[in-house]
Amino acid sequence: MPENLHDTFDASKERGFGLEYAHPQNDTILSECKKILWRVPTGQRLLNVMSQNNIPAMVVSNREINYNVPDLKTVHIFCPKPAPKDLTIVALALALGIRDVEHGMLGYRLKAKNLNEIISQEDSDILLSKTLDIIVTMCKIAEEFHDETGDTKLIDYVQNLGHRELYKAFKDRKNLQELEEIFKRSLAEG
Amino acid sequence: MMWHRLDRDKTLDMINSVKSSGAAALFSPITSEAKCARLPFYPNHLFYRVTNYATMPVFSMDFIGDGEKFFYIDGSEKPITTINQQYGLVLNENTIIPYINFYFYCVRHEDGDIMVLKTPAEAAEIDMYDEERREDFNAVPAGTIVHHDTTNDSFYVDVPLYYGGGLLEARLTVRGNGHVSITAQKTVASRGEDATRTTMFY
Repeated sequence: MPENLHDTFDASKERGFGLEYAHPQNDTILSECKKILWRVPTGQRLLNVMSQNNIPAMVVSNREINYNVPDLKTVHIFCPKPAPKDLTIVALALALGIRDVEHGMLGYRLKAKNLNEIISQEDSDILLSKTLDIIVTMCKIAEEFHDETGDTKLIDYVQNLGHRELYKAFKDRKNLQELEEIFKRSLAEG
Repeated sequence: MMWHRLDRDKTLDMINSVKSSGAAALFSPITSEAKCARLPFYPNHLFYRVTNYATMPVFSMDFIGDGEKFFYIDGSEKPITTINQQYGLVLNENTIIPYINFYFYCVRHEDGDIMVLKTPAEAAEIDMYDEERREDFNAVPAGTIVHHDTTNDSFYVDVPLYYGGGLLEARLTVRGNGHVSITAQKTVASRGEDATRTTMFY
């Protein structure tokens, strides 16, 4: 093992072996997540968007629950292996992934290929709008889930992510401009 | 965690090593960065992280590797036990807590996050989304005593543990193969309750 981490990688040596990222419980996780989302209006709407536009989704095994849309059209949900018994947060990730794809369909696309290279005001504004919209979508689903089940786990999740003030503003039915101000302030405060 | 960022060529080589045909879209050589960090309990392996900045949310994928072969951290115990069995695990008084921290970081429990706390009082204020704190594998609880049972090659460590949203006083057993289990525990407080009172169970 080299002492200098700079030399940690020798490109000349034979490397790589089969790495499988697809979650072995892919079908079960997607099926259960859709059942969870179908319980709430925003979840139903997003599932209809997914169905009507044939938006593919796959579950990728990962240490953390998250989502990503690497190619603007496929939803990747990240879920630990084995999947947790309670898939509510994973279902939320699916919903947010669908919404993210919907952004692209509505024309909200970044011109920059790399978030580290965003320099145009247009891209900055789009990124802010997309991010805020995703958080508001989280708030909607969290509120609807609580109204439907009495369970606060999604509300707790949204607040633990640091969006306590934003969720409160959402609950108080603040307008988009007010939500944006709160969000910008939270970003400035770090 | 002391990260070392890989240069562009090494990042591309690493991505080419870990990408699979089934999930090629996850890795974008143009928009990804890779970094690595030493692990005191693995003499020949490093902790690697590839982060894709192509879209929000930014996501990362973690690996343990020796520069040639990489084991993906998928939330299960398998990659860790594979490395422990095939390449060896160095456990001693200095590496046991970093290893336990690393284990709980990589292996996801069905009851949620588990984390060794620096003090019982930390349970009331811990931010499980604070990546810097969660990646602080060298954080050792004050006054920790490590007991090494050489007859069965196990380590026993009594620590304050964040578990299921609350505080436990836990005894952790670490076997020679690296498996970590909670072999005794006492609930001290749920999240939000007074976590400053502690009672050792013996």
